[in-house]
Amino acid sequence: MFINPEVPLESLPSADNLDWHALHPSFVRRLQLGALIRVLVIGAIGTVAYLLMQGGDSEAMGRFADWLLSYALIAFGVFAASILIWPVIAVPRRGYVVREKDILYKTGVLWRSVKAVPFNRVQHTKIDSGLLDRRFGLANLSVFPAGAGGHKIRGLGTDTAERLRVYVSERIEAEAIEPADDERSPPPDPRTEAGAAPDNGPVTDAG
Amino acid sequence: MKSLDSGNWQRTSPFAIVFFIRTSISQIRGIINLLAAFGVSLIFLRRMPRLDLVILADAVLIVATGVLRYWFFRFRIEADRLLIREGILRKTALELPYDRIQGINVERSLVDRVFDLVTVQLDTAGSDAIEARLPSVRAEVADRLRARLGAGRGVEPTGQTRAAHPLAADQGPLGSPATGTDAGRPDGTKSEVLLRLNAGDMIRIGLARIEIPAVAVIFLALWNEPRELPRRMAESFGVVPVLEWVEGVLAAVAQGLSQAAFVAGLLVAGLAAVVLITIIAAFLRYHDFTLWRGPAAYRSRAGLLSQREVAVQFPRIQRIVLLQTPLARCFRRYRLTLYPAADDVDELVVPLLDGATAESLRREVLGDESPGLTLLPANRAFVRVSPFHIRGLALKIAIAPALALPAILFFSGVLGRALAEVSVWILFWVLIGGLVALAHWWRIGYMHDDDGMSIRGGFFDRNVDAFLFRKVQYVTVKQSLLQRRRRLATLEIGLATETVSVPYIDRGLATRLRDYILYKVESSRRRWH
Repeated sequence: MFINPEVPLESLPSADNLDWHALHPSFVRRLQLGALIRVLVIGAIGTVAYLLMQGGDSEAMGRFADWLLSYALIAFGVFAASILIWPVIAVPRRGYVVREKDILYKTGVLWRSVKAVPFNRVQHTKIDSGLLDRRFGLANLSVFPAGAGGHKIRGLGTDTAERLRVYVSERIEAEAIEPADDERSPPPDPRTEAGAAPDNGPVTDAG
Repeated sequence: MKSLDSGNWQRTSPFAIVFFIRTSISQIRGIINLLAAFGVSLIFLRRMPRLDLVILADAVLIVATGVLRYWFFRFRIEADRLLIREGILRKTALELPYDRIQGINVERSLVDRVFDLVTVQLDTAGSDAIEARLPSVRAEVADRLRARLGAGRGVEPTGQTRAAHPLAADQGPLGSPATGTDAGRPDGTKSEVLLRLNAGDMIRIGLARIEIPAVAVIFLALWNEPRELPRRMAESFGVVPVLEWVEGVLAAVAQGLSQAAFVAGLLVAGLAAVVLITIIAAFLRYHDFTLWRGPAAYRSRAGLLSQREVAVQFPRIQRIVLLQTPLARCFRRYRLTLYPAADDVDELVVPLLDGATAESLRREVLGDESPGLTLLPANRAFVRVSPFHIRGLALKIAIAPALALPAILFFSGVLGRALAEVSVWILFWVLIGGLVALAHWWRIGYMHDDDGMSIRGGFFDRNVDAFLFRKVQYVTVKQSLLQRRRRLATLEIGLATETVSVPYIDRGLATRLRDYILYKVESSRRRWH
């Protein structure tokens, strides 16, 4: 029998007051190391450029290089300090929550955003980790719905990321659409009982 | 005649070479763009006499590639799947089970129409965009595919293959170019013609599509240099002798007229040319536009020389967009677009329709799921967003250009000498930013009922986006520094085709809407595409 009781708006689950999970503690270090490498590379390039301009024959070029240096050093110092400090400010403000029906990710210091992706719209998930990530035992989890957008949660511990991916995959299967009242009905799947606990066998990526 | 049944690898008709040449050209568009600076090449021709050989060699290469691609393109219709093999050096084999094919779109270029052929485009499920086309095949191939698709569905209740394809029903009339206007007769199928556009409508489409800003820029340029601009344009297009002849004639005429009248005439002529071009474009693209409702899909067909058919299945429609350009507003017409979920399926564009038709289409598409919405931008139910949006937007528009000049002057050490000019500059940008932001804010509005939402926006144009909550992919609540101080937020709603947003609404409202949309998505057990 089809029942469709009215839902009082106040009783809807709110995504406002949640216990946000923090990212992995060494993620700040990983970002800082990445920033340091970038600072060193840019600094090296700048030094080489300065020496080339100084070492040239042109007098004017040498003076231009000196003039440039005074501004460039200040700009470079501000830039280096900010990208080295920024992770300390930004990372604690990021966080994620996994609920039964969706996964939320918040980010941003000046521009804050909270994005929610329902599991029954997720097309596939992905875990990736770069060289630096692996050095700190970190991994990134991406959750893709149809179209653009979706999450890329950076800085999870490798274990956490894998557990999350498995959980998300399970939830995707559990939330798979039941035989539709629209056309193109897929064969009925006994596992897709609404709200039932996931009892999946081998977990696979929905992608 | 060869049988179309299983087992035979077959080629398409040789006229597909035209299709492959076109594909090659679009693939090497970068080079073509260089060649398209044709005027420049003509100017240099005298200095580089071998350039014509280069162009010739390119043309030969493109044609040869087209012929080779035709030669290596084979397809095979089997009982349960369609196989396509193609590629000259890099071979690809595509296997398309019929149950993955959502529908068949048919396109007929001029060549196709003369020789009674069709280009079949297969609409495949899934988000991976596969280019599955059978160029310039006999019409019966499309029929055969449709029949196979229908058979493969088994107990498929929609019966979409036969009934939803008007082309299948009136293959006869379409096949012969002389009776093209007869096409679209439902002919005993369940398809129903919803809309048909005539020549007068083509003129309206042309007028509605005139780009006012672009025209304004051209006219401003003309006004400043009425004689120089045409000459320079002519030089760059390599038609100086033609221009000189025209100028000779015009000079004789102009002697009798004052310079002012001449300029005015030039402007009128320019306007007439722009209008003529857009109207011709409208005729080419939308001639004999017909919209059907089949049992499972909307289907449109249009085109003067090459005809295009587009089909969009009902449940796959993700959003409806109604757009009105300033000129279309003069004759109270709109343009409506139905966006389906998949990337590899074209959206269906209804180039011209009135408000009542748009609303009845909206009622059909959204069904009784969301009866409270509207598509018409003038509707009073649209709620404006917070006026603080003007400030935020003006800041966003003006800040970079306003600060760029002072920064440049500062670093060149002359800021102190140009303070007055700089303050005028900043004031100018603040004014521009404020006006643009005000105009944009004036357009923005939103409304929703229990199951869907309409968002109005635009700057020159007015457009309204309508969608159902249960088709939403993700929801974001965003807050900038300014918004946090005013307890405002921007609600961003991700759909499978596009992200739409409602800026600067009350933060509490934004989170409530977010929670409600999530509830709608998560409790929905229906397919969203």
